[in-house]
Amino acid sequence: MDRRFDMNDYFEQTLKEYADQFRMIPSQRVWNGLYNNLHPGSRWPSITVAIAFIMTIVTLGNMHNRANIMRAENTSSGPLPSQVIKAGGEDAPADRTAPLSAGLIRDEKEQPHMPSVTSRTAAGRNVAPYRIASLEAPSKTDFSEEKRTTVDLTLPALSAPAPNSSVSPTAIALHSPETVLPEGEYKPLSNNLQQAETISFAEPQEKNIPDPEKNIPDGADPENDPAYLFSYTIKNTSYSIVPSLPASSLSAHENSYPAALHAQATENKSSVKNHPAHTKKKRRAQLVYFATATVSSATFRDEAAKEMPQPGSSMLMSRSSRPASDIIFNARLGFEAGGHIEYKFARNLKFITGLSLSYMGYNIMATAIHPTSTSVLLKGENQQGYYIEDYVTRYSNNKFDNRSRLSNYSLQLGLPVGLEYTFWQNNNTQLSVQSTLQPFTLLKSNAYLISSDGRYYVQDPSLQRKINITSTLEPFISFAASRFKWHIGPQIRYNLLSTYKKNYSITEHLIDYGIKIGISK
Amino acid sequence: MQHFSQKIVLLKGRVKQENAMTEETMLKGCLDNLATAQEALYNRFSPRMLGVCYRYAKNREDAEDMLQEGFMKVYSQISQYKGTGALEGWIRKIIVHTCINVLKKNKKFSDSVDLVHATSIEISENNIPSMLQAKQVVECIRLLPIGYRTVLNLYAIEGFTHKEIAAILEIEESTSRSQYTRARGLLEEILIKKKIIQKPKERFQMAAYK
Repeated sequence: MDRRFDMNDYFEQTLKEYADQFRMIPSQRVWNGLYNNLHPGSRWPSITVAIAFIMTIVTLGNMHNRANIMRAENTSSGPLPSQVIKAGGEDAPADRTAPLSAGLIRDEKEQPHMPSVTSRTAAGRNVAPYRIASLEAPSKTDFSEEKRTTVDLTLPALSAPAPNSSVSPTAIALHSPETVLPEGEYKPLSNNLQQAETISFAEPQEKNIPDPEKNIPDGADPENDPAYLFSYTIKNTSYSIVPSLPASSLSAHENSYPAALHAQATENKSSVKNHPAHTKKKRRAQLVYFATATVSSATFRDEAAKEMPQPGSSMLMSRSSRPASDIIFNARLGFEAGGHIEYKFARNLKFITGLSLSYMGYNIMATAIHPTSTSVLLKGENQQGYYIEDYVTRYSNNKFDNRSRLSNYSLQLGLPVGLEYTFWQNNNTQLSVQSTLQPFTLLKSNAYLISSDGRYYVQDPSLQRKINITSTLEPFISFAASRFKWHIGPQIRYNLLSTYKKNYSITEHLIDYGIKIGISK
Repeated sequence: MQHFSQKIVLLKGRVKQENAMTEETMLKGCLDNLATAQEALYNRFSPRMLGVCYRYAKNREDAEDMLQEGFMKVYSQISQYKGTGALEGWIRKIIVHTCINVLKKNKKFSDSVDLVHATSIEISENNIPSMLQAKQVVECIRLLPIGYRTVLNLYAIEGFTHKEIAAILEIEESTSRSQYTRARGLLEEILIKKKIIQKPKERFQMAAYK
């Protein structure tokens, strides 16, 4: 624009002066609008990533659930295989750790008319009858944890089934769905979760980050002292100032600097100025906030199958040989969120620590039934011996239409500690892999356990571990965009220890697959 | 001493050279469509340019819209900047033209409308909150009707001639002159009442343009 040459008017000059002094800071939306218009392509990766993320979660969940449904269909059609463990001794000792005497238990198919819990006599059967002793009427029985009674099954005679016997010693009479406990008030087992143990996490020690500025001699002014520019070498950098002249000869030759040296001095000055030694805000430690959406599931293993007493030992109890495989469950959505500090201690290696809150779990597909008594075989103290713990449950593992969804979940507070390795990078992008071990404590949880016969689900929070360790593996890509740096990649999390204590014969390891998104400045 | 002063000259030269290089780097980055360079350019010039837009706009939101549109044109036309003259002046020119174009979409600058508006200005303490003087002056300018304000901005602050203003606003040159005269008189009155400027010793004879 061509300015007028006759702007001598005092009023106009004053007006212009004031107007030129006036400034306003625009809101962020202006730049956001500009950026989106100038770089429309940058929107697409975020949309693509979001779509890929949602599809991955949905696909993993569907694949997992389909596998479980197929397994459920294959395993729930026939009678459950079971294992008979002979017992010795007729009297059940009061000590739970001592072997119990128990009797053969009927297959419900063979004997559909199961007796009530209170009494049982088997007559006219080609099997050893059993009698339940010392069990009070349910209406009077307090099924609270403290007053749980042990069911004693005594046999007048113990014998293995005859080879030609039509009875297959597979069923557990007490646990037949047709056997219902008399009506009465059943006090449920205590569901009070124990207070989560508090552990103190050692706060990450602040590393003594070596200050490159300490390499600068005292009294030196690298920004303005030309002599220093030529003699200063910066350690641990990919570039160094090319020494052109020794410092001592600088003053003598200052007036006769050739243009090339002058240019070199200028370049060196900008190099020094931009060096991390002078960019005081350059940090080796970086704070990253992250959130992960996951598909949460579990793996089960029946540890007791190999440890069960062999026939001829002192115990006799029918149980499913592989109750772990009888669990019908679906994956569910979980999440993890938190922050971690990354400290770079080597060229491509970072140390990671932080805090995370995660939610993991799965849904068990069960069938609602009338309150039924069932039992779980547990290891005794110090892993010596076995004992049976009795429960009253309302959920069975049969494939009926009356499906109920039982939620097994845990809310955990963890302290991840691990390493991150960057195996490729350029100015804006990095490819890295991160692996951490994360001890955590349970803040809140809910757990349904399968009974030893694989037919029912019981709830016993006391069998859950309060402290566990998760391992994670996360390859990811980092890229800088606008003011922030984004980190996106898949994550696999696996609980190294079983969800349950060693008492319980089934080990459960929660496992998560997800997409992790992190942001840092 | 001579040696020391020579050192100072040398360092000042380096500083100027560094600033020029920084602007060059910025321009080069904008030509390469680098977001960091574009953001640097925006951060450097947007506060002042928003002040320019605010003088033309009805409110802050409109001013920001003008700013955004103006900077889009700056980035798209950055290749046309040849380095003659200051970069800020070049950007300012684009911003001003953008503001005018936006106003032209919404308003025709005619006498009749402005005269009606001119009689309805209320000057009160509430119109101008307490601010720094620069902002006070700008807010006083914004009290003027849109037509007066635009001509005043273009003539007194941006330095266009009446002929240029007439071409830009698609009005008669005489209209531009008359609107400026009235705008100036009104603004003076406002500024004197607000005690931002002192009443001149000699009264200005505002020739009514018939």
